[in-house]
Amino acid sequence: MTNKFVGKRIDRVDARDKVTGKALYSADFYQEDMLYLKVLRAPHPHARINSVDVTKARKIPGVVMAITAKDIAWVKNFGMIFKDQEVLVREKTRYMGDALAIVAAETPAIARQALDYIEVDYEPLQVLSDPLQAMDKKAPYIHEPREENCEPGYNPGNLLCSHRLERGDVEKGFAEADKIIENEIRTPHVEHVALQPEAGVAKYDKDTGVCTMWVATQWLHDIQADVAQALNLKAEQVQIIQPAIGGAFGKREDVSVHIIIGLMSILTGRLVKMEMTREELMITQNKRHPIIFRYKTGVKKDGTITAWEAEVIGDTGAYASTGSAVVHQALYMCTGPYNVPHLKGVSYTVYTNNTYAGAMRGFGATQAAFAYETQMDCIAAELGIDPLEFRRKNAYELGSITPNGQILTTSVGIKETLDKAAEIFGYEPGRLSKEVNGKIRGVGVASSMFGCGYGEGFPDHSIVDLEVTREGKILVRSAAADVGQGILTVVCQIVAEVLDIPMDLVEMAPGDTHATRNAGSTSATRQTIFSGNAAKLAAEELLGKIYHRASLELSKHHPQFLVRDGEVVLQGTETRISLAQLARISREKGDPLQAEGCYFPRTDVPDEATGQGRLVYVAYTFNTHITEVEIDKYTGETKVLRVVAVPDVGRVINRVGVEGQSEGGTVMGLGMALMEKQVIEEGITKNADLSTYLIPTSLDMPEIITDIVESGDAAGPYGAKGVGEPALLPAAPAIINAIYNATGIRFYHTPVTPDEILQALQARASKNF
Amino acid sequence: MLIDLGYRAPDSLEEALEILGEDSSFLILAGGTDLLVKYFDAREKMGNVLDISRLEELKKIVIEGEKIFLGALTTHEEIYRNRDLQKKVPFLCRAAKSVGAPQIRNQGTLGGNMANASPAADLAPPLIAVGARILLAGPDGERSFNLDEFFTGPGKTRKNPNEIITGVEFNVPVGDFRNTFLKVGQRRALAIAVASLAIALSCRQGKVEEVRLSAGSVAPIPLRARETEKILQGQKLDNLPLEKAADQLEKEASPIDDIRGTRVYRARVLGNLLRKGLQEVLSQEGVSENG
Amino acid sequence: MAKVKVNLKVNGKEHSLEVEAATRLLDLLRDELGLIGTKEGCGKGECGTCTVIMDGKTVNSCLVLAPQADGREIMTIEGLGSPEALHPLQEAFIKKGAVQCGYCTPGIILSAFDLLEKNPRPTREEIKEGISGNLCRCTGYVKIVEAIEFFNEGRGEHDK
Repeated sequence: MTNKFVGKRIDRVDARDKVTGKALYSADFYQEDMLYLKVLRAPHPHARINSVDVTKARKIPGVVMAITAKDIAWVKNFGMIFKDQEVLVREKTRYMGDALAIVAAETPAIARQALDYIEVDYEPLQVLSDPLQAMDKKAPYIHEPREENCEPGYNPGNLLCSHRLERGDVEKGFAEADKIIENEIRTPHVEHVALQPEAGVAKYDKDTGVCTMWVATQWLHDIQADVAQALNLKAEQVQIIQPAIGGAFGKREDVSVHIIIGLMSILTGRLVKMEMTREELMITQNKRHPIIFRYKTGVKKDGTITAWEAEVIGDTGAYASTGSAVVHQALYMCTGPYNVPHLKGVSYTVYTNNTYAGAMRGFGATQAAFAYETQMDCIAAELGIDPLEFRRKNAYELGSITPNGQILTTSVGIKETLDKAAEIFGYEPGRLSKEVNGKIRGVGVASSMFGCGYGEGFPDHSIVDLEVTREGKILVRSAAADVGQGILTVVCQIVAEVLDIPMDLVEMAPGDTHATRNAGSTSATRQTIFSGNAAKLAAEELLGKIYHRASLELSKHHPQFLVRDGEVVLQGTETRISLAQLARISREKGDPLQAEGCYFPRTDVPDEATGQGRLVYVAYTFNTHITEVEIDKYTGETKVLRVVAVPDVGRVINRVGVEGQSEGGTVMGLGMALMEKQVIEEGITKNADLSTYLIPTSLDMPEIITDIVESGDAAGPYGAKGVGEPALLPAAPAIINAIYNATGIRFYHTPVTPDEILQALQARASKNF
Repeated sequence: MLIDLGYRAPDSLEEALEILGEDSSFLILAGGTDLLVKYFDAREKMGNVLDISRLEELKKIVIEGEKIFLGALTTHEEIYRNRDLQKKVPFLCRAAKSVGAPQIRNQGTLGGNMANASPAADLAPPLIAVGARILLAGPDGERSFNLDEFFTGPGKTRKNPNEIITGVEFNVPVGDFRNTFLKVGQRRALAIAVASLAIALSCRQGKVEEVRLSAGSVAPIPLRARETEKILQGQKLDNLPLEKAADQLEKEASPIDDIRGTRVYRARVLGNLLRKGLQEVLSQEGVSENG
Repeated sequence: MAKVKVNLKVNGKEHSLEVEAATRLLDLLRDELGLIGTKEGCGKGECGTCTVIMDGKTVNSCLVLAPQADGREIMTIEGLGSPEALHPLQEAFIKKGAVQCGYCTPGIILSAFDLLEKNPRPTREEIKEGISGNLCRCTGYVKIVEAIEFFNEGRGEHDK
């Protein structure tokens, strides 16, 4: 049976509003009589705050309110996992994004100018900007020690947590090895650059006691909970309505404006609006964790990996955010999609006075992919084995065991991705470098794996509600945040597929904490699996109810029916009854045509000492990139010529959507490889704007060919898996590996700039004289 | 208590100069691509702004044979797209094309690029290499400078606060005139130069008759590399002392470390740009020797 | 605060406003005229989400003071087409999957529109250059370029 919608190229359900400028994003809400908020941020990345005096600011005409921590002693701390962040700092700043005061004024210009009149008295403390320095017992505490996280030998105030991974016996494994390769590989702070800056609008109704806000977030219900607890409200007193979201990539997991706008709407009694500037959000909101990987890998001459040991150190910055999860996920993915019989690892999540780090596309797995793909490439070179062949030899198959000890029983397409990529690219072993018109070219390979969903026994679930309306449309209620990846379209496709109804008869209700049920976050590459499955379950249940109502109305039996184009048809006859009719009849009978689907699979909590579990992630997505670069020997500038990207997504739901993620992920990886580094020195961000933090432009775009492997039979709807984060993972390492093959120079970090390439080329040239 | 922005938009250059004569604290606004970025989120701190963007008399490009005048309000895009300039001084057009991206080129002006005096200003190297003079008008009359003597430091020029740049003029060398502009950036658009080099070469009877080299982002001001020019002056085209010249050019530069690049890289890549650029001009077909 | 008078034409309609001198064209369009299709992404002319067409040229409206727009004609995304009557370029963007989060979309469509007005037969490289002042973080630009090419191929058909 062929599918009507699933697997096809489907237009996005929200595209029409976006191409005409009608889609409403967080900053697009206007009303007469709004108050505008501005926040005074820290004067120093680590300082004791003696006083914050807003007296002069309060006197400015047009300033309605100016507050400091003293005015809101009743407000609690917030945070994704640990509630270690203050809405307004009470005693000390820990990074430059800490908030000291909030001003509410009649115009944005007045609010902004009022900040200049706030006087702060502070004493600088020692700034810790290096996690290795912060881990040292002698370093000053950034936070007060937490007993349960103390690890002997390390600074108890600055080590947030540690995790462990162990399977087999690495000493035995190293003894069996012919070669042992050790490397230290580092990734930097990376900024998401979601194009829409953080913004939001809130109003408080004192009669109902409900604070309503229009603000983007990747997880409606989680932010609702965090705002409510911070402001001493019940969850139902905080209503968040989801606007269109201008990109996220992990930037919108943490609280940004949410608590501040809620708070000020309550205190002023008026509608309040806050917009962060690009500079402000680059300093204040989360980053990708810089991570240090210290690897030791044992291999036999024939290329078999025997053992792998890893130490993983992540700089989580001033606050925990999701750092405890990100860094240990880097550990759990640290050997990639390769069979490793003996492994051992430890990860440390460390506080510093840098901008706090949190979720960013890949959530630790991106950094790990760069690290293990660099390590794999080094080993291949060391052994004299073709890099693609070396990966293929060690790559997962059905029955392989992940670092967490999970045996892969379904949907393992990594070898197919390698083979398909090689074929499409025209990969020729031994011919990975050449010179063309005075420029040097190189070909690089990288593969990756990614565990979809939160996994690890975390209560990961998603709910979708469906209803047949009087007009015969299907109304979908889902809280899943569409950040551009297209989940709302995927959900509609699945509903349309099950109910055999044209897509334009499927309508999405806006995401709203009060009208849509918890769908979990748009993160962890989970929505296609979780909300997709929930939608399928709901649609199947709804179909049953539709048939049931039809059988009552037509006095016929269920097996004789089928649905087609919004009607129930009695097979072999002209008898049909529309969904609209069935909906009206059902409603009259007090039994409306509605259904709810909830997908709540079980995963295992990994063992604390070893990180092992039977089923730690519900699915793994694999991806391979083969990339060709061209380097100008005069300037060191690297151009990415073409990329062949082959993800294994289990099963394609929206073909255009999967390609879009692959292409976007490839270009984001190009940025990571060649130009992106958030430079934070002594806690101060040096490149907090888009002319100094560079992302790729259209002229940097390479030729990208995406081909898709459908290994089938994964946990998601129709056997699908997610692709949002996996699309990025192999991109940067493939480029750095290609640079190696072009130049013979290995880099162990990103970004690799023209500066470094030229200096390395010249150093090597002078050595050869 | 709060600061207000004062705004005047004169209808003529004369009126503009009158205003500046009375109050030279007015900041001059043309395309806004430097000024409004500098004062982002603090526009009121500009104090008083003199909007000269409508002064037609500053918008012309005048080409009379080899004499070229570019009005100060000529935009980067207009320079890039001008057919005559593309024929006569293609390296200037290439430099204009390399600025930012279409929107920035549509707004940003020649005068603004000069007044902003960034050491990375893309139009400066080719204009210096072609021996341009910059023209100023003030309440006390007109002044002009050789462009390579106009800049005094990063963001600083010889222009007085009560003067307005009216344009730039230069003569295109006759005879076998070849030129090129190279720019190294961190990406392929919206990129401020990490290093740039303009080469203007007049050849005669197989030798270098005259050469001018000007580099951007490698010194506090756009660099005129006179010592390197001397090495190339009079040399035979088929035997140019490339290595000696490249070494000298690296020495003449005084680059710094900043967020875009290191001094070591800037110096090295500058030498390479000379090697690359000279190879490029040598393979160009110049205008015939007799003009 | 001192105000200035600004008379301008936006999407074919005349407007007469009084705004503070420090108001940007971007703020005038969004706050005063309710045309929220033009976005702010950085405020410094580095991302292109505020792109509008002013007197036939694309500009970053975050770098234009409102009084500089006096007497001028502005086209915003709202002037190109509506959800009920899409411009074929907008249709091409939908058809080719060139829209993900959509924040760059209004600006990049206007840049593409302007490019094609001036250069009806652009090469792929010229298309990439024409939109090089508009950053996109979601799509990697691939389907945006394909949408513009697709629109251009179809254009010959429309004109027949």
